[in-house]
Amino acid sequence: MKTKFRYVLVRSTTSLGTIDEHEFSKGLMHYIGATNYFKANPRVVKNIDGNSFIMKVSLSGYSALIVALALMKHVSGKECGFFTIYASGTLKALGKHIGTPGTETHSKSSNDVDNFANNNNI
Amino acid sequence: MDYYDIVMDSCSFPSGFEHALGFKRVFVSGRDFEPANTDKGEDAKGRLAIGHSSKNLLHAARRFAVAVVPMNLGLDRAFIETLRENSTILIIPLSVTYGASSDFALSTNMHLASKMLAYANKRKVRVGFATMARSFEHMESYMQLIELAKLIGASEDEARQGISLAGDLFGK
Repeated sequence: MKTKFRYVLVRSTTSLGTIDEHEFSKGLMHYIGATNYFKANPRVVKNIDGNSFIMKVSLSGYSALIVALALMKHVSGKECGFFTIYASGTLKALGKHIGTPGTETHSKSSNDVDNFANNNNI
Repeated sequence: MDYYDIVMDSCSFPSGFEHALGFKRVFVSGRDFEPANTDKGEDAKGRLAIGHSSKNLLHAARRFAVAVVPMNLGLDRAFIETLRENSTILIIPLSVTYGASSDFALSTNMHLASKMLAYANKRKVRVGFATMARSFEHMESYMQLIELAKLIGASEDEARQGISLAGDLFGK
C-alpha cells in the first residue's frame, strides 16, 4: 500500500541556517518520541529562504509533527518559534501559499517549488 | 469558520502576520481590549479576567467577568460551578503548557489543563483556547492550536469552536 505523506510549510522566527540540523532533528525526536519518529520520518525537503522551509512527514506522524513544532521553543540554545502555515498532500498546492504575509521570499520561490515537485515526480 | 487568538501586551508580531497563521484577527491585551488583573484586585465586571489565584478569579466570575483566564491552571470545583451559573467563558491559556521550563513541568501543566477541560466540559461550561503568548516565539498557528487543544482532550469540533470564541468576546 502506498505510503501517504503531508508537506508542511513552516515558518521559523530564526533563520534555518543558524540552526544546527542535527539539533533540530533531536528536538523533533524529543517531542515526537524515539519510537514514533521512524513512523513519522520528518525531514526538511526544501529551504525556501532563511526562515521558511517545507517539511515532509508521513500521514500517520502528521499530528505529532504539528505538536512537536508547537512545543519546540529552543534549538541550539536559541529561543525560536516554528509556525505551521499550511499543509498539503502535494508540493504544488503549497506553492500557492508561499508569498503570503509572513512567508515573503526574495526569489521566484513559488516556481522553484513547482520545479522541485516536477523534477522529483511529486 | 474564523479563528482568533489572544496574546499579551508584550507580544509583538509583524503586521499582517496573523493572517499567515490562519487567524482572522489576533487580539492584543492592552491594545485591543483592557484585561482585569485579578492578582492586583482590579474590577473584572464586563472584562476579561486574568490571574493566577483561583480565589481571585472566583470573585471576578461572581462579579460578572465576561471570561476568565486561569494562568495557574488550577482546578477549583467551586470556581467551575460559578462559571457555569454566570455563563462565564473559561479560556485555557495554551502557552502556559508549552512555555514550561522543564519537561516535567510541561507534563504537569498538560495534565492540569486536561483535568480542567474535562471537568469544565462535564459541567457544561463554555471553553475557549488561546495562546496568551508573551513573545513572538510563543505564538502558534491555528493548526498548532487545534492540535494542542486535541492533545489536552478536546475533540476536533471543540478545538475549532474554542479557537473561534475570542471573536464572540471582543467583536469581529
